[in-house]
Amino acid sequence: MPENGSDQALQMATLLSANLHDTKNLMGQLMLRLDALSGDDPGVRDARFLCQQVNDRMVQLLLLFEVRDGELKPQYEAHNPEDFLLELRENARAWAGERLRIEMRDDAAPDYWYFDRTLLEMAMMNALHNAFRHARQEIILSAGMHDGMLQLSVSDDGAGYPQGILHSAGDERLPVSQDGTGLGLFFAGKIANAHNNRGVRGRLKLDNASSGGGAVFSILLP
Amino acid sequence: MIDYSKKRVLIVDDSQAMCSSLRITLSNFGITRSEASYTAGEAIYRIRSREFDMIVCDYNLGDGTDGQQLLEFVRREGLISPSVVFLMVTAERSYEKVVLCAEMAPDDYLLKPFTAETMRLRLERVFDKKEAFSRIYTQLTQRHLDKAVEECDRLLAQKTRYSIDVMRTKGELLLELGREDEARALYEEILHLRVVPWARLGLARAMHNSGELDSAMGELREAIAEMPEYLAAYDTLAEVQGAAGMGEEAQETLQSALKIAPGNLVRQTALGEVAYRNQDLETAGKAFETVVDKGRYSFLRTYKDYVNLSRVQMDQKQFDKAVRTIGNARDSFGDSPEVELAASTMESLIQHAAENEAAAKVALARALKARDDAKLQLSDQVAVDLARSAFLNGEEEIGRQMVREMVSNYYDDARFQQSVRNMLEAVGRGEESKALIEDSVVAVVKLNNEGVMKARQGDMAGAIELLLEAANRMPQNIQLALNAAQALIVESDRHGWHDEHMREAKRLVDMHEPVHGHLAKFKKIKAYLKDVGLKFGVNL
Ligand SMILES: Nc1ncnc2c1ncn2[C@@H]1O[C@H](COP(=O)(O)OP(=O)(O)OP(=O)(O)O)[C@@H](O)[C@H]1O
Ligand SMILES: [Mg+2]
Repeated sequence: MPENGSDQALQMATLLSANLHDTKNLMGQLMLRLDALSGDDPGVRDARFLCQQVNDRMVQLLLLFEVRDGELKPQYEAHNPEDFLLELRENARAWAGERLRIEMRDDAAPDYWYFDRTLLEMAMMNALHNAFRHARQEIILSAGMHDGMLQLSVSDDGAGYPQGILHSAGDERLPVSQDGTGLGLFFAGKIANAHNNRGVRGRLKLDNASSGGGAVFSILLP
Repeated sequence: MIDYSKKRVLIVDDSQAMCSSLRITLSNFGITRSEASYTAGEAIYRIRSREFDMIVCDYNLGDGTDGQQLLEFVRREGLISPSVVFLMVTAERSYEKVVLCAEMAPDDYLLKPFTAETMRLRLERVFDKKEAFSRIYTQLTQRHLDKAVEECDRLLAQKTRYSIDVMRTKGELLLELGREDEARALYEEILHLRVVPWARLGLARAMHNSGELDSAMGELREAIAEMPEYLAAYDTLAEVQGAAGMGEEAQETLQSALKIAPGNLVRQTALGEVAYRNQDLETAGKAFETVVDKGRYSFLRTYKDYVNLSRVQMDQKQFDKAVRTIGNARDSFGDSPEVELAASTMESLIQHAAENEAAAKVALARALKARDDAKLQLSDQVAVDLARSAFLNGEEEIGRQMVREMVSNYYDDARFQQSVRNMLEAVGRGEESKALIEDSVVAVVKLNNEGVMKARQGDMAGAIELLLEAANRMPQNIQLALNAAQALIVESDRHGWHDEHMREAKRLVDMHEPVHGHLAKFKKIKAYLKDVGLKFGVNL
């Protein structure tokens, strides 16, 4: 039967998506259950952070398929940038505990902007994880306007990006750290670039322009 | 801060484990009054029987329905007031696309997995938004649409963070009020900055309502070309095509949409109806069969699905099947007068077609009895069917009377007249149809003119008596209603405030606003009502 191959592929796809659906549901329950425990216990905090990381990896995995199939299409909806950052900050504070201060600056942010909340959330989450690794005392999340685009940034007071990374600006995959995969900035670049408004594309901007020379990760959205 | 302790929440999720996780999470926020439903049907039952402040619903509900269909159903049927928060929860990123492509969006949605903190923040935001909208909602629940628009403007002037949501609400209100020029300006302003799907759809609707069918279709086709999964655009396009008399095209449009989302039973029903009107019995039959089959356990099912299917089966001369379908309708929906009327009417038609004269007459008698006993207001399709049966089963005078009533009621609705005309052709009364339909139209016009004439001659009491009686007898007839309202208002304007009459005028105006609000004459009368109210310092 000539149809056999595609039948099998279809069956496979159905199985995959059913499995995935279940995984996410279980993950969802795990996350809520962990959150129901008292956050004073450092062990619980660690477990939450690990859970978050497993989830981020899973989201990356799915995104890899989308990028491979050339289907990274943002679903634009109007979101309030302040709410968006607040959500990131509150979640980050839950893992950061006492170790780091996480601040927010959004005075120059517009009331709403069109972007794909899920995609942006994953790009910003990675930037936050990176900042955790490198910051000394403080991380600042900010939203503002730049060249008619919305700029969302994560800056820290660490040593800053190494030179090689500053030049690549997420264009290619960078297997740099020992405990990471170097996928984070690569995806951030793809996500920024996939956003498009009337022909203007978004972009990723990396520099060490924070006051102490620490890394500043920015995504500009048209 | 929001007081969560008083909030009543319904959680809908087919996974009991997820329901309990959500309950624990909510109770940590202080929401202790939560209930859980594991199926959509049970959820609907609970929603009908008590009031909730929030519904947290999983998108994937199994058993052939999903959270989006549930959302659209409870909002469309008015089962929840606009102030109730609807929060969707889903494991599928593809839901984002669903939200963008559907006509209705939940207040917010959460992609699984999410943290308790994320959920807490979203809840806070969403309740805050409901609070900001509360004055709009108050006007909405009282159906004071123009006051609701005023509240939108007030909120917009305050430059809150919700301006884009307010604009969306305002656009919908303007369309409903028939203020399409303003709606158009609003949508164009939004589209000027970026292509926002709902604004595009709104613009097309505004064009449709101002009679620019071609531009509306152009706009919708373009929207679909850019976003082939934009389901709401297909539905609207099919509607416009239907209004433009392009039945075949409307059918194709709905079929394309169903290829993308085969599970939507509301759209499947629409396809069946369009196909039936196009005399494409095969497509109509398949569509209604799907609705009956898939809808068996769905909250969306109604006896009308069975009646639709049975009608097609009868036209295909599958009489046994048609009778069985009606039997199933009786079995599943019990014996309310509506079911009895629709089922008996169908049975009389089937038996007649199967040449069982006696059985047909018995069924017709039962149908007529149900109608008279319960004094039912007939829906269009049942009324046409019943008249058809009357003609076929030797009750011509009843049939004629029904046609006269129907036509008088809808005497400016060409599409409805066409279906009455088709029915008369089908029962071999083609030669009578012209006389029946036109005479009825003429009779109403005459009645109407008589009333208007009396008013012109200054006999306001006579005009009011004539027009008001006619307007109440033919409640769908917009011309009679407007003329009656006008006579009532003129009387107060000239001879001083007459409270009862002015309230009657207001009732007529309110009643027709949703459908006829866009007519120029309607707007004139409505403004007149307001002016006279102001003149006497009465706020109607
Ligand atoms: N805030 C920062 N300060 C200094 N260096 C950074 C910072 N963020 C990223 N880098 C450098 O950039 C590299 C690439 O970061 P990226 O997020 O792409 O990958 P990763 O963090 O190593 O792996 P993954 O994100 O997959 O866990 C890091 O390994 C690190 O060397
Ligand atoms: Mg990283």
